[in-house]
Amino acid sequence: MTDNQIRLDEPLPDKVIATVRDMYAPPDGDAYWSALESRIMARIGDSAAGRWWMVVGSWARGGLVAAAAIIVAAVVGALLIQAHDQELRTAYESATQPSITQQVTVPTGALSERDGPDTRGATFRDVISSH
Amino acid sequence: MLVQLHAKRAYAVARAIVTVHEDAEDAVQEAFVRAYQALDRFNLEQAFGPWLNRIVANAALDLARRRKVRTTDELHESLAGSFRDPGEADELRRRLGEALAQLPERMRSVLVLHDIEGFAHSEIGKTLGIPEGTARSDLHHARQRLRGMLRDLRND
Repeated sequence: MTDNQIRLDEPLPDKVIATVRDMYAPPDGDAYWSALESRIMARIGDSAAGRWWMVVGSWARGGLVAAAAIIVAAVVGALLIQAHDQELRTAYESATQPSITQQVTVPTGALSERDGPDTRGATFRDVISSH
Repeated sequence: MLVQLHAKRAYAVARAIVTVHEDAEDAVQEAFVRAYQALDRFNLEQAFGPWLNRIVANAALDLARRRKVRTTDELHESLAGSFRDPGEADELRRRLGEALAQLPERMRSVLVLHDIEGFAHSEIGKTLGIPEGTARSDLHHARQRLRGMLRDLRND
């Protein structure tokens, strides 16, 4: 086929063209196109959100090991601090408990020996009788 | 709004390729999403319309390929009992629909874009990603085949 033959190619009959144009006519009415635009914008919104999540996902994949290490370190650290606190509390209690016992027992003994009514009366009687 | 401005033209391109309204609508939606995703690759010195038309054509061609088997089966079934009075307008419409569906996809697209939508050969070439000469040649063959398939209707 030559270029000349193509150029002289006869168009389709008007009736055929009109029928095909009618068959393939885009939907009429603004409502249709507005609705189509809304659907498109909704899909674009989903797609934008999807892309955002993909970016976040790639960050997350990269930082996943580091994040896990941080969590493990935090848990271990908390356990160590708790153990240290318990140790300090035990040491403090063991250091403070004997003095409490002494405070309770010693004064009782001292009072009975030094300040008991019998002792004080006997001493008083001894002084008077000798003077 | 870009969608409102270009949707009808995009629909015409899609419909020329996929022929069915619902498929054309799907292709247009898909094309606008693809265009949005590729917007950073769009050269601002270019015209937006032809760039979008190319994306629409690709989306429609992808859709047409996915539905090719189904469409061919349905077409064969419909052609089996297709003879009625060819003088009726609805009969012309039906026969034309079947004839267009039988044309190879690219030929049909070229024919509809040129004869129905008024695209120039160069525009068709850019839209479908084919040389302008191929668009001219496809148009010639498409018209010839269509005439052959509708021979019994020509003098009505």
